Amino acid sequence: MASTMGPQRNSKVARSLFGDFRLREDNLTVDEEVASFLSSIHYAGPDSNGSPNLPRSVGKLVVDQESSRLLNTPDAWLDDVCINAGASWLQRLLSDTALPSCDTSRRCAIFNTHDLLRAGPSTTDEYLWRHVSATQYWTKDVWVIPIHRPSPESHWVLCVAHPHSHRMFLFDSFGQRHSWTRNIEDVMKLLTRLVLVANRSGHPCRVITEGWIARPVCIKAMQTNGYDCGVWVLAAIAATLRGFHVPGFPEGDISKIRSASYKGILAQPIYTRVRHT
Amino acid sequence: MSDQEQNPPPQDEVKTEDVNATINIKVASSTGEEIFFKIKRSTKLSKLQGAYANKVGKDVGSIRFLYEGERINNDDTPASLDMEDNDTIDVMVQQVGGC
Repeated sequence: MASTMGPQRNSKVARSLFGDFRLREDNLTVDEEVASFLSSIHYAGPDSNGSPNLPRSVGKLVVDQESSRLLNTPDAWLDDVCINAGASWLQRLLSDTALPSCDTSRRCAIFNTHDLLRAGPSTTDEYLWRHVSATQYWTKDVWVIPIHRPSPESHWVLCVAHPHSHRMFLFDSFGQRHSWTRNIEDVMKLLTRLVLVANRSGHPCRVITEGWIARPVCIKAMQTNGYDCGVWVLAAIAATLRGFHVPGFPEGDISKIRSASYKGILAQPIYTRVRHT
Repeated sequence: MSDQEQNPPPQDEVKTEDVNATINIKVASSTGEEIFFKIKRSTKLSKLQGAYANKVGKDVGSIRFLYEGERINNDDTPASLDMEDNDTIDVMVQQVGGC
């Protein structure tokens, strides 16, 4: 399916800490290895052999049986738990000091898929701050914002914002551009609120919220089926954490990302209620 | 000597009082809407969840209820979660996508 993939066209080879990689003529870096890298890892943890029906903890997030089932079903749509927990798991994995992605991964703040809604006009600063402050985004160079487009679109896309260079990179596995306008408006509202609440909370966040440039990083469809957009978003998050702009691998390999995410999350500790027993 | 030591209330009486006490709970959505409920500390929060879903016109199965970041289970009550008056439950509507 490589012929359907935009990122591999018009590219030249460059070199990074990961070795050679493709650099598109538009200077976007393509992570061709992310799927094979994630699938090459043996995921094991203290509860790897525990029942897959028991919920797992990924940081403060709980992955229940239903969301695990979605990850483990080849053609299932992903829900917000899959995306948020999957992103958190990827960052923990790729921030390992033994990996070359350690620095780039730790420079990212990953927001929750509900944070765009939380930045709406009816929410208080205290409410927004309660949900976003744990990311310490004001200390990070890259803000990763997964976006859900509700029904009838029912689609996952990704915005990766670089607050200090005032650029945002937009990933849509279908390579479409027409639906971004509304998302960009919402993202700019979120960015503006983030800067305000950080500064009001005593954490200097010197980011200019005007004059940003938004740029699609996928202009040809990577996805041709009707169920994998959430998995593509996880792949794009992994590529971002590894320091690239966009994932680039044959569509057939997307199942490796789904499988690795399921196995990786299953290797996390079984959830036990911390505060109340 | 304190009052409690002078007149220690029977254990059962204390329990009954706690169970029957009511508590105000705020349910806050991601978009900032807030709905207030007054329920007994012994009432299962699944009842509150159903009432909230009815109020907002959504299927209760499509809504996640979190208290202090942790998902609320069907058998939880305000008492079992040590909830205090005017505590907040966060709700999030499930997001699903694939195409």
